[in-house]
Amino acid sequence: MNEFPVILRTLLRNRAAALLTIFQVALTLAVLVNVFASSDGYRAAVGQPMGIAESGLAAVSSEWIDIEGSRAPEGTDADAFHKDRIQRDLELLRGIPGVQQVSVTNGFPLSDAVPVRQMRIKRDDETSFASTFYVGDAEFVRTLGLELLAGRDFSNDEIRWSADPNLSEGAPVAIVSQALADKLFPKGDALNQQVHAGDRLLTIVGIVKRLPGLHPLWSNVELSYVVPGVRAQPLSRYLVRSEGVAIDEIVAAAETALYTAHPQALITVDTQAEIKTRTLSVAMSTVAVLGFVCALLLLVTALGCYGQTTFTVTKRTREIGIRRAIGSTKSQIVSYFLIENWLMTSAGIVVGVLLTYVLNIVLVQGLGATKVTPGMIVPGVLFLWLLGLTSALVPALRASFIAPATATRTA
Amino acid sequence: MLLMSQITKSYTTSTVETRALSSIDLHVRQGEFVALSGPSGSGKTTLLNIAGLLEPTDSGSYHLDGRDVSSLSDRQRSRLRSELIGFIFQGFNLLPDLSVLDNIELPLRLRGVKSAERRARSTKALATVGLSNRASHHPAQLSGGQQQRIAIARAIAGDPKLILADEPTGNLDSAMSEQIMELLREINRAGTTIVMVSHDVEHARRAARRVVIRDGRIQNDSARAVPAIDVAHPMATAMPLAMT
Amino acid sequence: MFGFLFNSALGSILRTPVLSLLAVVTIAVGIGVSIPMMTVFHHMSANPMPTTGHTLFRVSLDSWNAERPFREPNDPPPVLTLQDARNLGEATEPVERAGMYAAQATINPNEPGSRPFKVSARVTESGFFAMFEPRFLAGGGWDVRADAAKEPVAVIGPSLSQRLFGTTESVGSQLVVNGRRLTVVGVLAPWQLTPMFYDMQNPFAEVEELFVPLGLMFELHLVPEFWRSPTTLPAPLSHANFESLFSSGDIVFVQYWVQLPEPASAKSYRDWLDRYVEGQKALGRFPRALNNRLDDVAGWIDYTMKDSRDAGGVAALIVVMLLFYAVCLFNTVNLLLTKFLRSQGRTCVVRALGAAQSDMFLQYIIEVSMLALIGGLLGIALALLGLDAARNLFEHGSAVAASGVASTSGTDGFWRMDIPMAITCVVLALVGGVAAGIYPAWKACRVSPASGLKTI
Repeated sequence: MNEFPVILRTLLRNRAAALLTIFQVALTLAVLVNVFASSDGYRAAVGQPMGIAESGLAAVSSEWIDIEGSRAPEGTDADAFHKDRIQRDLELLRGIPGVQQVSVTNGFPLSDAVPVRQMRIKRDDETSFASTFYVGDAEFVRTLGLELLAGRDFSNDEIRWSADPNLSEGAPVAIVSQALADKLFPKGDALNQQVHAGDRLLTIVGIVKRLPGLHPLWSNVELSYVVPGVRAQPLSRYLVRSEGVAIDEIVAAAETALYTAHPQALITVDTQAEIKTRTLSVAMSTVAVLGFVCALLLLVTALGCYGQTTFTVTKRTREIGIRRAIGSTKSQIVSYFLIENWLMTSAGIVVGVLLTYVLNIVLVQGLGATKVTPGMIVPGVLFLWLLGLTSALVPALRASFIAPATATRTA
Repeated sequence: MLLMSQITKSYTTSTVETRALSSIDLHVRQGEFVALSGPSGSGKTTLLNIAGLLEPTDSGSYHLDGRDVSSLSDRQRSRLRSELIGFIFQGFNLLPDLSVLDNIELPLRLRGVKSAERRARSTKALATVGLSNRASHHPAQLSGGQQQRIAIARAIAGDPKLILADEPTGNLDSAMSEQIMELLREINRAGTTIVMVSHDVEHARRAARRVVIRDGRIQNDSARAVPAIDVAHPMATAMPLAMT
Repeated sequence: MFGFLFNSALGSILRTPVLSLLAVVTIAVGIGVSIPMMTVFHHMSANPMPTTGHTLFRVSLDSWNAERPFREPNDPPPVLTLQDARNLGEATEPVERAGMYAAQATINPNEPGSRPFKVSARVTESGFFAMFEPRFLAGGGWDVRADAAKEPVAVIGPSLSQRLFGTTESVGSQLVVNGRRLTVVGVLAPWQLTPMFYDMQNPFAEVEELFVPLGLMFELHLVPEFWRSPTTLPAPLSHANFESLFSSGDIVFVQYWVQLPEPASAKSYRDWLDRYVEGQKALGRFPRALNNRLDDVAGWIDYTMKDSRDAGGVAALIVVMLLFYAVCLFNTVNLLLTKFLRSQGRTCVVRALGAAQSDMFLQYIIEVSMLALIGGLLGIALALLGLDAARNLFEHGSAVAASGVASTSGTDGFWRMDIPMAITCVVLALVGGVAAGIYPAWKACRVSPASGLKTI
């Protein structure tokens, strides 16, 4: 370590070559941290079940279509027809071996196709919280596997059938997610309070720990509520929970059963995991591309550090020989080059931290990327130090094997 | 042909300044054969480099073929090198990936000579050194003496007025050396001025004029009857030389 | 002289093959990674109507509410109310015109046992075919009379025709859309638009496979995919109130295009639009100050791309990729320094024999340019691989999502390397390579010729 000032002076004399490595490290840090920041939310969303027991859950949608374009067969009452149809669908699905629960709902969590309503305490409040609006039957909470923290689940007599998408005539109660309860009632006394959801006044009868909403990357994804009821409409959606049977078998069985019952209906059956993956597909692809570029970037930078050290070792072969001749140990030679590399990497990191914030501003505007935090920079810095030292190690070791005789051989 | 007065040259590494030449006065006339000798580190090669416009001087004036070259640009100096001067090095410095003939043509090419004329002159130069049958060989296929003869052919191909040779026989055995020296004397007899740095006392002695350099100064010049160190005022000898 | 320098440069590349190869590869990798996203951006902002685009105009009228603009800072809604679209259509000003919107439609195949499926439909008017001039494999668009008479006709795309009828010669056949029987009057040739300029809600979208008359929108219950209302709706949209909400309310959803005889007519048509809005103000509509837009195709693409999240995302990706290229170039500089250092002895000899510093500099730059050129060409190859990989990656998800008909051509267009992009590859490689070569070349040519002569 007592060679530190010598190394520093040598570096300062070869500024240009050192600057190259410094800028390279700086750019690498900036890109690395920013890519990490941009994809942070995506990766979190993919990894997290977000409060629902995702495995074993299938999502079935069935759209009744009439050849003549009417809402229900000629001469029948549309509402009654669809109520009957949905009830028979539920029976069919419950009859599939391995199916434990079936619930009818208005939309699947994280499917990017669920309605959103504004939640307010008072009707004319300025502040409101955009929240995902679910309509569910008495099985909804259990089928999704939600954890009820306070209050109660819906009772069977609260489930009313309606063609109105808002369920305006339904029971005026709601189960809300903990996050929404805390937003509305920060004091924690949400249970049994009344809230305005869109045009309706609802009483909070239950609070669930988590209930994910419209889109995994939406900032309000944790704000959701459910009202009891079933919509008697041509398009119906069912959540199916299986137990003991592989979900793929359930999916296939459900599709066959429903198509047999309604050959003219438009049936789609997916697993809940597929639905989330589909919602995230573009984001996931972007993450994959960025991840690939980052891997290449690290490779190129490692090659750069390797090349830089090789270059200095080649240029200073004679000098190294002299050092060895006058008594430097091999480890002193190795540490000389490692310290030199570490100094350059560190200088690069200082510049890189500045660049990281500059680039972040661009990306926040363009990609809607997450703001970079010091917590993201620290691992990047440690990683680059390690990367630099690792790639300098091979040429540094090679330098230590230069024979002391090199010093005296040529003029 | 070559007139230097009060040439000084020093090298500066990061901290130390080393004086390589101080107050050199040297006048070489057209057609002379001058041998520079002296112990290693005395400044012979530096003097030759300055003479060949490979390095700039710190101070003093240098006229080459009647032209003041101290203030020329790099491009003009390069042009003069290719037109006036032929170089012969101790290590031959042939380009290994070029054939013998291409090596000889190189200075002509740099001068922009047309290809037909280039071919004619390099073939003639190759004949002069007696290696016509090796035209398409590559340097690595030749012995040291042959390589040096090719280097000489390269030096004379452009009909230079001045040949600068730095230890041309340094890497050769004595029989080879003798051949090379004979070749150089022949070229000199044809009218080309030669300045040669040589360690070999025997070769130096056989040159028409011998200049000995020690510690960056001219210690002895056989063209002057009296050794330079005996002169009370070096400027006194420089003045009349400068006027010739 | 140049010939000699060129040969020397070539020789120098061959003398240090490994370093040369590494320099080429770093440039190529940088190019190969940067170009795919740039290609997508290039196609996204391309003008797909190069010849007629300057006579085609998108109309935006600011019919939004008095309280706030449709979008900050003061953008009018990009779509019109049905009433305004009808009013403008009845006027005789432009050469051609068409209102349109995108909707999902359900198709019931005729054969028993086959299942219904959904397709993206374009609900539009006869002017669509006259203005945008798509090629037909059979038949043609419907005419103005069919618009007025609300005739049950449809134009379909080639893959839908194949799927339903097993042929593209399906003019006169019937298909069932949302429960209504429509007669095919034309089958389009495969049509790729990059971007889909007439919509631009999603510039990556594919041209629809089904076109039905706007007059049938209520009869077929075709709910627009994109609609906005400046006021709170009296009741939520349902099957029953679709017609009443969309035909008389303030809901905006109609994308309206006109064709004018020449670009110069735009001024007078704009004035006419302003007069129209003034007239409507007198009737109590259009509470905002005059804020209408008339954009030709290129202008419309620019305007919508400015706020497009897709474009922003791609642009941000390009920034990242270019930074990656910069890192590659830093590496190239390092490699070139080493490479040129190795050729120092030779440089000294050639300098001694009469080559000027500037000649040597030129030789090094020639050498770098050749390396960069090869790097650029190799970069094109890598970019092609990259485009293919990115396409598979990005389209896998959407292909799974797309139920129903996917056009056979896919969205190839965005992932297609064309001549301008290939040239961009080479230019980018040359600019980057030469930039990377300047410092090493300058440093190498400044070496004193005397320094390398003594050593053997």
